[in-house]
Amino acid sequence: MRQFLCSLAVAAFVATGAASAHAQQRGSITGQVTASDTRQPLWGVLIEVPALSLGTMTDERGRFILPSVPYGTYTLRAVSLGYRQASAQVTVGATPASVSLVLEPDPLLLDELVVTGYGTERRANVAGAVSSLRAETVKEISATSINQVLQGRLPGLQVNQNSGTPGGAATIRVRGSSSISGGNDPLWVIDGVPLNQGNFSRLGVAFGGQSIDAISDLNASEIESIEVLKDASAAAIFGSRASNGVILITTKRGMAQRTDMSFGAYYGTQNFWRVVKLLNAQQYMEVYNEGCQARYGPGNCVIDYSPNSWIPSAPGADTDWVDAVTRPAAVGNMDLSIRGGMERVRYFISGSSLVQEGVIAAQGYRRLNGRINLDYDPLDRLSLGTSVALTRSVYDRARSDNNIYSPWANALANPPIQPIYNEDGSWFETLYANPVGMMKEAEAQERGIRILGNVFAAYTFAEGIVGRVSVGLDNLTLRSRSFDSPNFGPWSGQGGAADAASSFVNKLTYEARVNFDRSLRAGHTLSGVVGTSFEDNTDEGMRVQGQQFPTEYFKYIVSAATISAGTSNRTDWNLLSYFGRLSYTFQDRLTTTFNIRRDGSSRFGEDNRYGTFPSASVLWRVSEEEFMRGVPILSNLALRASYGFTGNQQDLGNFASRGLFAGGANYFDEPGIAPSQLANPNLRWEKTRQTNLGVDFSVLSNRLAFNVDYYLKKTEDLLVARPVPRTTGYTSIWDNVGAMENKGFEVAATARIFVPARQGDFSWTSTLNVSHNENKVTKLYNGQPIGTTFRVEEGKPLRFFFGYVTDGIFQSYEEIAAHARQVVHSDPRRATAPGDIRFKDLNGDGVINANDRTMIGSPWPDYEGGWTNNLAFRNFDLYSFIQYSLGAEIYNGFRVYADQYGSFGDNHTTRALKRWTPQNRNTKEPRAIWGDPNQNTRVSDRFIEDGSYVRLKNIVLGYTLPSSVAGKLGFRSARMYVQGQNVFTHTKYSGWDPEVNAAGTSSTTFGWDFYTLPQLRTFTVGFNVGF
Amino acid sequence: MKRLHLLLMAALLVSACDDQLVTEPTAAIDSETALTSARGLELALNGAYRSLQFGVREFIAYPDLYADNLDFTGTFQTDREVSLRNVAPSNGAILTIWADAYNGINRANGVLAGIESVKDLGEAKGRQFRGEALFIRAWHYFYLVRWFGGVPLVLQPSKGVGEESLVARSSQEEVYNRIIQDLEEAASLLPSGKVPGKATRGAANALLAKVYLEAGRYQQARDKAAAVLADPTYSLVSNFRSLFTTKHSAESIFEVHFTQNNGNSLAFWFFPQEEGGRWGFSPTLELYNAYPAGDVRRGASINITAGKRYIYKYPRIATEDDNVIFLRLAEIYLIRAEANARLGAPDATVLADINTVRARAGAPPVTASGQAALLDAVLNERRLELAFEGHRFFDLRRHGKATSKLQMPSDRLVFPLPQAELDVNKNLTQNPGY
Repeated sequence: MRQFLCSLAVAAFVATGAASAHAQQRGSITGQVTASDTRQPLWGVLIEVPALSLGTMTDERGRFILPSVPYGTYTLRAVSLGYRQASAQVTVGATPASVSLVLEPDPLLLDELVVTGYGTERRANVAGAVSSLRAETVKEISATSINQVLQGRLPGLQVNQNSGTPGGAATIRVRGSSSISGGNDPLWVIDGVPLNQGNFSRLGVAFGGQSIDAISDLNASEIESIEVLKDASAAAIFGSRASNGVILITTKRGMAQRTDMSFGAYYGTQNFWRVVKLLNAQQYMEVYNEGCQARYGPGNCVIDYSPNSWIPSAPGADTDWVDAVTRPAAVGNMDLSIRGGMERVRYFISGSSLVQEGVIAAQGYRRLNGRINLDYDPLDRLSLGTSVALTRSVYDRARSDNNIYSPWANALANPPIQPIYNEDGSWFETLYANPVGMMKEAEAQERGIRILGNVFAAYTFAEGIVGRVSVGLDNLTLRSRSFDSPNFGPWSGQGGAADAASSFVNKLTYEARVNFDRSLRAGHTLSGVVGTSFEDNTDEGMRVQGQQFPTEYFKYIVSAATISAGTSNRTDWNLLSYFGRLSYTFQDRLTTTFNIRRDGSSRFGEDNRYGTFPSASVLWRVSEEEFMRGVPILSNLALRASYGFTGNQQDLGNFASRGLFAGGANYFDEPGIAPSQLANPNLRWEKTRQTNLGVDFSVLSNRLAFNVDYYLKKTEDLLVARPVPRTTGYTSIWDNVGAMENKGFEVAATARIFVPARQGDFSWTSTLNVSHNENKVTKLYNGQPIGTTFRVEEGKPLRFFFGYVTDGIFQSYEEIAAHARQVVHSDPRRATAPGDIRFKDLNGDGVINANDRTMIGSPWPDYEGGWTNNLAFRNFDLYSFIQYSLGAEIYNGFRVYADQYGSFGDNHTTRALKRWTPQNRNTKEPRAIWGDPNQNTRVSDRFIEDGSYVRLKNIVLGYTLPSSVAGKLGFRSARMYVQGQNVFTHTKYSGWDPEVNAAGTSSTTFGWDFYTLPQLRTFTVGFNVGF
Repeated sequence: MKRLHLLLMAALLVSACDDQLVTEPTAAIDSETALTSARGLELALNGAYRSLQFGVREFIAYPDLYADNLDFTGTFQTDREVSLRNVAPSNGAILTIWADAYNGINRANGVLAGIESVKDLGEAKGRQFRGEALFIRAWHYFYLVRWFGGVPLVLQPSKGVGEESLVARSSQEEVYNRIIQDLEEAASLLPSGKVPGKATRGAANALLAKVYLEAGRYQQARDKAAAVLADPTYSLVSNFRSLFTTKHSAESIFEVHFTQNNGNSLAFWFFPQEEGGRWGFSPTLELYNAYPAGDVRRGASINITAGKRYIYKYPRIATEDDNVIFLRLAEIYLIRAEANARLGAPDATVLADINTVRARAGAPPVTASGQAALLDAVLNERRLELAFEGHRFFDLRRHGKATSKLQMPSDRLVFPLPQAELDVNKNLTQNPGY
């Protein structure tokens, strides 16, 4: 019933708008727009009558016509990116109205409309920290995902691709991580609809740290603009989900009186930009004989090509396993879009198809996107619209990272002395499951269908007062299946195994709001919004697993002899919100904005269900003041300040505050229950207080512009699954404990180095951004640290690396005896010996133990950002984008196994050739010994590496056909380009790629490399044509 | 303005959605109501039994891996540390052993407390439930005290995580006393006879015999063992291999039951790749060679594929529902033999029990004379008979042979307390040497 009332409310609201239909007499407005500097007509300028929600675009000659306008006097507005907006009064009557408008250049884009929560604001009046990206940038690069578009381009937004897995997830942070267990992903909102974010696969942990991500479904080419709301002032209107920042995406919409059709395609190949060198068979045998005999004595073990080899081998085998499991992989994309409209109907229709192969042949990603955005104005004051996007994504997956059946991990680990096949063509039983076999004998696929969209009705009550109701839907169905062949050793025991799972994730958002924007008297403007929304979330799923298949040709559970597991489940959570914003502007000189949101969430207990999140900001454009007129060097100077509160509840369980007994604790096939969660009725919102101080200034007639922001973000009442004594029978309790701080600054500098006087002249624009963030956990429950290798401790950055400190290599038994006790054993072959690593006795107690661990690195960079250069001359354009991250460390966990010389059979990096031997004492690499008795591979600074890198992320060279040539070919425009991605990387990191995160499924662990598939280098060729 | 009113009304209607902010879990119930009925207690007791299924991989492998029955052939650092007999306090596996045991203890404590308050349970059921829960709790404490030494004694269900939850360690003796007290009571409450997969009087007595032996109370160990051996419910099966292919055999005294619906991955962990497993551990050559000719136990315990020796006592790799035998009659014979040997009983009395076990296996009888030789014979027999059933290291330690046979320092005879536990409980102290 309540649900019905909720829907009814929306329907009633729509009806109120529709009821106001009545007929009027009509005329038309015509006109032309020119630029003040070049005196040329301007094409593509948006002409609108705000009072009527009417709009159109100018044509190639700068002309426009607005037919069928009701008689009356209106303000007409002309808006174009890069120009100040202009307006004129027109009176429509029996004689057609005609206006001509001249636009002043606006290099700082002060008149650009910035999408903020529940409305738009002029850039000049945005007092909060908001970074924007426009379609032009999106268009430059052939990105397979929105994450690639965002990376490095906006100050304060950190994007890290977790791996090179096709369709894989990235780690995205706005101004650092601010939570321990509450989640750290920003909120994504597309056309006003909050998204289902994250990994909804129910296939379990088999795929290691590389999850899929619902954000991958978005198609970059549909995007008109992206805004990132960073500070409390900008984000607080999203209240309880805004602590981690908000990413607002606006898709393209139709334009009246003009039809644009464009088609683009690219094709490219991807391959490694670096190959880490591993040992060949000869080197491998040498190291392993040394290591094995060090442990078991000469003669007790021999590793060679004989049948008695201690590690099985085949005569003459010297397998390059990495080469065997990888290949250059293709990537290709096609895009078609039509954008246009008639008098009262405007549309944007697009479709695209992306195919990305994996370098591991078992992996791949395919995506089909379709979108229809429609706007219809049935009445002068009423507009109706809808945005509908359909996505079909197909992920071909292979196990990865820490999974023992990962083709990539096993390729890195397997001994080169083992061949792929036996002589009879069957799979050789390798030390770790045969990587090539793993690729061919296992299949896993996930197929997503996503419906994302909204319908809305907007009614203009009076000039500047618009009511709007909308219903948004994000409905995601993900079907997953996997099959492991019974023919292959590891799965032969179960007779093959198959998995089938489905996830149904649904988010329904009802929203009603009124936006207002009124000039009180000359120069004073009041604008803002009040509204309410209700969000209804459902997560449903099921999973069935089967075993015992007749042969490898039977791949679905219908043929399984055993159903080994089956489950289905569903949970709901809801969010009810009220929000408002009031903004006062005086003559572009002063703007103050207040935001407030009150959120009620079903995730909290009755007493703490609601949270209120206010913020305020002020902007003072000093350069507009009289006293600044005498300082011509400063063409623009604006000071900004903001303060406010935001909340977080992202990763909180739906029933986290309740004491629970869970089902499923069955025994002997009888049902059972068991305590699963301790109650915490006091659980409440995680709150972030953020202060932001900013200054925007430009010099040399705006040729050089800077935006500088400083922020201090203090998060309190951290939602932590706090570890409790296990003697309670529980491992953790959800609690509000501790505090964290992020502070930093962001600088964006734009230099228009060469400004073309005429079309076709040389132009060069350069943009540099630098972000610096310092993260510190300031308080924990009773000061208790959390975690071991990736540790949380007071006064330290989140999930810093914690371990032992190395101090060179022992050269003699005397040195060992003189040092603190490391590993003592009555059998000298199982104790510390010369050639082993000396660890520092930090507390000086004469024993090397857990108390000698300390902070050995931090995964968080000191500085990161990007440097973009846009050059154009005549018909050529060159775009380059360099992305960098400085000062972060990486824990190269791969080396725990790969650099454990002569132990357990894993292949080594070529570092092993520098290992300690009695003849080679001057080295950092320890001796080879089976079993590593001294634990040389314990977590220590030995595996902490400098993760800084500077990377030429994109370079694009394009050529636009002269319009005369294009015209002859039947195109309005045509451009061809070649692009390189990850072309060049400068780093000291020794692993496959410094941009890595093996813990992609964790919201806090970062900077860990563990058999992670690296980023690839991609070269593409492509073209775009317009009709 | 009229329309603005309508708008406000719409907003009000939306706010009628307030009730929607109450959602209920679908796979759990509130803890206040969970244990307030007889049915609830029955379900929670099943949940407590379920806790005995936790960590059976480590239960089986670690006592042998930490000793001389198993080699490490896997990839887990946690297992590797155990095989090197140098377990760091940060080792995740020992934290799991610790946490799982206390999880089970809390489940049992919940049932024990619930029995006191639920009226409609009935006396007979109340006695039985109490006996079962006490047995489960004692089992967990016995597992803990053997690996960690004295541990915190928690005897009430946890209600919160305040100061009262920061329990200090009791002494090893206090823990043993509590285990014995619980088991003696359980033995008096539980029904005799055989109930597959559930605790019975015989199971409580068998566990008592084992606990007494470990605690050095040999007289009681012998008496309890004798009581179980006198129980007609149990007899040695003639086919040794059938112990591991047939569930709940006549020899089995307490066996944790697994089904296809809730299985374990024991065979998967133990079998080599060729047989569809992961081969995390391999029986040592020394153990393999320790079986005398004709002893069927070697082939029943260790199998070989492609030159890889592997544990063969848990063979159901396809269905993954191998039961795990916690207590069986052969061990009780050997407990009586050991207790007798330690109490100075005649050689023949000790040898009779050992040779009963050997005869069934087709191994020639042993002859030994004098306490030391007899104890060696028992120790060796336990190794052969009970390999991969969770005994070897504890046996060596009880016989005072761990440091010499395994060449290990004496401060490694117990595991360290998990560092993560020390981090959150200031009242805990670490074992010496760690």
